[in-house]
Amino acid sequence: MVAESCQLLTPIIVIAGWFFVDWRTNKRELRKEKRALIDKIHLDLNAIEQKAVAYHQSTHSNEQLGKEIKVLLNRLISVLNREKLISQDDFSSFSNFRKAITLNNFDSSAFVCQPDNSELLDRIYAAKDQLIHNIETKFNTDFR
Amino acid sequence: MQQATVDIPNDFSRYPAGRYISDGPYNGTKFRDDFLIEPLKSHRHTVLMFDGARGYGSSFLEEAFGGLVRLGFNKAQILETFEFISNSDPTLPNEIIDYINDAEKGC
Repeated sequence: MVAESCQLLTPIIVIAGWFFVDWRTNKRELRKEKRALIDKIHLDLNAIEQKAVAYHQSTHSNEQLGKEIKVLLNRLISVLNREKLISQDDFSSFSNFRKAITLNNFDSSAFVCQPDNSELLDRIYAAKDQLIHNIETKFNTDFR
Repeated sequence: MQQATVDIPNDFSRYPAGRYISDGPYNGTKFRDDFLIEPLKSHRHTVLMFDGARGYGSSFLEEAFGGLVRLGFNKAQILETFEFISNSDPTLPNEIIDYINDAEKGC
């Protein structure tokens, strides 16, 4: 009886072990994919930040650059949302980033070139940092 | 209550931009005047579809929706009248509600 139970137990352990290893491997691969995606998001965010600063420090309102920034922001939120790189509770950090760039002095006929110590530019830097922080926090929570 | 749908990229512009008439042809003031005020006055439930435009500037959104409050409409009226659909950018509806709240506070 004991010998029969042992014979049954062995394949169960092997199958359970295989499932566990497979689950761990999938999770590790998923982590790698998400990490690569987030690294790309860092680059995209840096690019948007640079373009936003260039826009606000232009000598005149640059309509083409403004359009480009809005397109890039649009792409960014699509990826963040589709890949679930940011929790719904932190959606406001993306909105704050967009607001920092496009709420004031943007698409405006009353455009004013911003100095280096501009409060508007400070808000852009701070909003980007907060968005990155929230993305990294979500990643750490999901793949701890 | 009647119902209507405004598909913003098709009915207004794929490139909405700016607050005021002086900021360009597809600004927030024009969108508010052409598409938002009439449904509010006639109590016509209206679905606003945002997907498909090449991005929305916050200044456009603030003027269009925060501007409704400055014209005398209140938050309850606005939210009863309009339904916001934005699948590609799910942050838009809450951002719009923030502008309505801020305008009510007089920010």
